[in-house]
Amino acid sequence: MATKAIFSEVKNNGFGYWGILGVFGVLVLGGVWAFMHMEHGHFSTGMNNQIVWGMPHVFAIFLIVAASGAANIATIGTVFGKKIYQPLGRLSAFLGASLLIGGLLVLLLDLGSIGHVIEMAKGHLNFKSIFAWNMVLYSGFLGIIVVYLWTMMDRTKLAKMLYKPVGIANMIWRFLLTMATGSIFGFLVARQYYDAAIMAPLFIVASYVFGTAIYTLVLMSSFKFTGRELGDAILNRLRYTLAIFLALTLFIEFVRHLTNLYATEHHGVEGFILASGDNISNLFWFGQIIMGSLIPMFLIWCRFLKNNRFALAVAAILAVLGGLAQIYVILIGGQAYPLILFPNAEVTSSFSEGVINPYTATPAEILLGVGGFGLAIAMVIVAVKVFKVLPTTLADSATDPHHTKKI
Amino acid sequence: MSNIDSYRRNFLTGIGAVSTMAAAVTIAPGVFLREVQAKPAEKAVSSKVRWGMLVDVNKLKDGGDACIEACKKEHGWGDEEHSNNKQDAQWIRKVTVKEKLTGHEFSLPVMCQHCDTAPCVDVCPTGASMKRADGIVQVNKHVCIGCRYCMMACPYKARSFIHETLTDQKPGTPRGKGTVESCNMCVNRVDAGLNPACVDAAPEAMLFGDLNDPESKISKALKEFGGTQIRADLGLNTGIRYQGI
Amino acid sequence: MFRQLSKKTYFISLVLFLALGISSCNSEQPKLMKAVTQFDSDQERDAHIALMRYDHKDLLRHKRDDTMLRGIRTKDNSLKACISCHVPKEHNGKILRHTDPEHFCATCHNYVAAQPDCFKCHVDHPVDDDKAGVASTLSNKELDALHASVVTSSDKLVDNKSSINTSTQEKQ
Repeated sequence: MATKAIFSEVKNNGFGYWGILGVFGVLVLGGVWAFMHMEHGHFSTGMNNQIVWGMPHVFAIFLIVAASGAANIATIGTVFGKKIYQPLGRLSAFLGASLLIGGLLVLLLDLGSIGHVIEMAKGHLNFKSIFAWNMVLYSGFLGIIVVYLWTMMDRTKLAKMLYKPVGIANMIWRFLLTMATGSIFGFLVARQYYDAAIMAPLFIVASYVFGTAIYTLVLMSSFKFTGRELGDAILNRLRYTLAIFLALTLFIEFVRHLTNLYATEHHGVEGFILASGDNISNLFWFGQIIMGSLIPMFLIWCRFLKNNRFALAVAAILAVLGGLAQIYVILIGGQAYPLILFPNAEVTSSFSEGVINPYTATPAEILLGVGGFGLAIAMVIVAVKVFKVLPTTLADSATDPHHTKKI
Repeated sequence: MSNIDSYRRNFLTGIGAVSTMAAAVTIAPGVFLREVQAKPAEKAVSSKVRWGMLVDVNKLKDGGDACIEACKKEHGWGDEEHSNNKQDAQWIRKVTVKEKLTGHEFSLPVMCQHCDTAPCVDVCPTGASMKRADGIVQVNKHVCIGCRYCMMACPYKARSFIHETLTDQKPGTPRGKGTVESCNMCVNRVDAGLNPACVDAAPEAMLFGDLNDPESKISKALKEFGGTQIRADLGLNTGIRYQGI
Repeated sequence: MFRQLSKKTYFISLVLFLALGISSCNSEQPKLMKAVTQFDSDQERDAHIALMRYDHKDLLRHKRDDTMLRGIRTKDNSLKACISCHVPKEHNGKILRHTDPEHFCATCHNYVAAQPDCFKCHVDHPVDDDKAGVASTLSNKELDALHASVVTSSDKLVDNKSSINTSTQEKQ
């Protein structure tokens, strides 16, 4: 590895460390309870035959997409040779892997027949399915991350030699992974809101937003709690990465809705998402656009808030919440709008034909999702104590060689 | 039922009976043979056959209510104990369509359309959502993990997820918690040489047969009078065709 | 982090673990319920038992695929046939379910603590055919006559029109 950054395990052993771990442990326990509750059958959830994917999937997709974005910080250091990012690589890779595991677990625990997953190992895999591809991509991602971490953490020649190639492989793999996750929605001809290939790039840029935001929060809090120095040079990189990808996501969302509005057959669903005054359209405008995109961008780019860490933390939290809102709008909004069997006709039936399908998540569904998030963070908290993940310092003098010249 | 309703019903039954008798007279005695021959039990289904259904919506007296009842009775779905009415299984449903411009209104039964290129088969990660060689689309519950991706993909909303533990299923229709299900064209009856239950429940309006056999009644009828697919724009080449929609 | 466990500790725990396994082999074999119908000869029965005792799960798996994917429905492929022979219609005046310990499948499966997945979907006791599904009141001949009308009369526009009217009326 090119930098001379020194890494060390977290030495905190008091109430602070175990308390924080305990908080996330409680979230995990909540998830376990939710799983036991839902195992009796999905009748106890808000999901039904109209809204087939609910809150657990919102969290799962968010976490999986965020995983790719969190691992991106390491990529910038490795593939693009940005030395300032290299000390951030280990945490980035660990966070990416744990977010992915958290998300996958939520997805798995929501399945109707978890026991039947074993059949897939016996050869029941359909490679026409994007889901089947995702299984391969997700497990491959974890494998690559392990090798990648080894190249970052081992001092042998071989590890150093492989550092860059593995980093490139990781980047390409992540690219495919996020694209495939987006494509889950990209090729559903049946649903008015989903049949657009632009979902794939949208998920890629959104992944950078979610991942960078979570990474920033984890980095800031871990450095604060361990009393390590974190300079503005690093934080500003993260800050502007976040803002730029927020803007990009906003732009692609704009293009997506504009294209949809161009096609008459999509007017109905676009009207529902954008202008119905329903929960979904409120969540879109106030949750995703204003709170999740515009306010964070303001907090970052406003001149008076330069180097303001509190503003950055708030921006990152808002970006995370906005991201959840974004996935919720795509997932639930897309299903809430009825399927159109007969255009230009009023349709009724005993099976919710032609009406907007309401959905209210039950506490168990939310707890399951939050539990996955809790597990991901708890895994990181354990990792920073067991492995040498965090650099001892990220002070400007240590990270930025031109530090003194700037002043 | 009000007097007017019963009057209507009698009137309709009269029309139905008359047209049926007229039709029966014109058919040669030889045609009365069961068209759906039972294949030998040990023989695998072949792609030489493609099962299909034709529904003449104009002749359906009740918009499909009888079909729905027959389907429930055959397969045992629809009154799940714990599930709410949005979670109950619904293999086949009656859809009432009123065209906005003309006000023309009709009802039709909508179920799995048994697509040739079925989106549910494409998206299923385990291959549980499958199409048999004879064109019947069904769920192999042995390998269904309950991910519900097929329900997201189906343009006809034909699939249901079982939200609770079931007991006392029909022997010919295994169904269980955490798997997805849908109309299987009464695969158990078809393999035994019978018509699907809905077809026999509305015999005056529905026809079942081999779409690949140009001599079958259904093929002849479709060739002569045509049949519409719901959402034909998707190019799924459905096995269920309608007249009068 | 974990302290290094001594080799001695490993060895002792291994021995204890194995002893636990052996101790559970000591109990009596479960007693299975007798099948409803019996084979003609003992030879046939013994062959069936020898085959099924070890291979029933592979056979079930293999044959379920045959039936599911290829539509092969011989008696040998039928789980219904297994059930109708091995599970009585009633036991002590009650329906015998797979959750009862006397149920043929449950007896052994409880013993080895392995849960069969079959009865999540398949019915676990024999069901009479007439209760099983639709029994049409019409004869085949009558049904065919009716089906034939679907083909013949839809060419008449008059017919169509009248039935459009009727189908709208039927709405109320």
